[in-house]
Amino acid sequence: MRMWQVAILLNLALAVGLGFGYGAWGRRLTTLDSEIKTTQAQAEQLKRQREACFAGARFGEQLWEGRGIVRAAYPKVLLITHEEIFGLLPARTTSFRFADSVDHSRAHPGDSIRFWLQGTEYDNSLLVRMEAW
Amino acid sequence: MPEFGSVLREAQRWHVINFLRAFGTATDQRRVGAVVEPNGAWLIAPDLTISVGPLTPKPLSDYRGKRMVLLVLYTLPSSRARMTELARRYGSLSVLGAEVVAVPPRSSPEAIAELGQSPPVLFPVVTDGNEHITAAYRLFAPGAAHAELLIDRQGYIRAIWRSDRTGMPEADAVQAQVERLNEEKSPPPLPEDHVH
Repeated sequence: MRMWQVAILLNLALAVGLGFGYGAWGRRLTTLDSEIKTTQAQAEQLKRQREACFAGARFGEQLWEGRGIVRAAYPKVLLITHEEIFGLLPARTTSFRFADSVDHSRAHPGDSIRFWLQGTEYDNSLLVRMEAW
Repeated sequence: MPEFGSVLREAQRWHVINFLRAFGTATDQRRVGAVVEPNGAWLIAPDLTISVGPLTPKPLSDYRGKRMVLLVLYTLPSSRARMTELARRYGSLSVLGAEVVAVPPRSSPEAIAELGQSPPVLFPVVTDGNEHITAAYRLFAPGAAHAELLIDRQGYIRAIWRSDRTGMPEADAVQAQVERLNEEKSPPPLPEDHVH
């Protein structure tokens, strides 16, 4: 067999090997990657539930932390332009209801704050704590 | 601009390029008016950084391909009535795909508080880097008067309103121009600029 034929054959064998390798391992890697992400999200959710539990929440409730700027403050509602709240909301402007324990008079438009939300999802979450950012 | 390598740092060289580009387009004979002209996309909006308090800053170019931007250069107290009107209109503009970005002339962490909350101002109000933004965009609307620039989804300035020229139009008229941009059947291509 000539040298160039050997080279082509070797390259072909290498390409086929890589193709099979990717087919077998590459797909498994993608699946594993998505499983890791799911597990990480579950771990973060459990962490938020544990923190909520320490803060006196009911079973299943979570505690999310957010940072943002107060745009308007009303007796029961605070409008905040916030960064992404991991596991709950993307960065945007959102209204949050105050828990009765929070002194709403401390928030003014333009204030930069860190805040904590408690609930099982956005619709039933309450702002339970805030402090200057 | 490699010749400037020994005199200016890279960031400074890009400032010069961006200034020359903005200055060149601003002094172009063709003018952008108060009405969106079909096929009138030629004036590339200079990029800027939208910094709102301690939130993560975002470049204007991030809106390209996604949303239109109504860039508002305002001063208080003369712009107060207009800002109130825009705050009330923001919901409709936002649904139509336009973001309002308000820029007072000077950087101040108090800019949001100064606008008050009746009605609540929910659009981004730039609190840092304002002097740079004003310097660049005042090339298109010289003076200190209230000015609004409508930037389409591709990043071109399509309409300019200045209070000292024609007075500010009703917010309805601004919304009509936004709708006009939405109706464009073949929007212009994204500019092939290299902005920093």
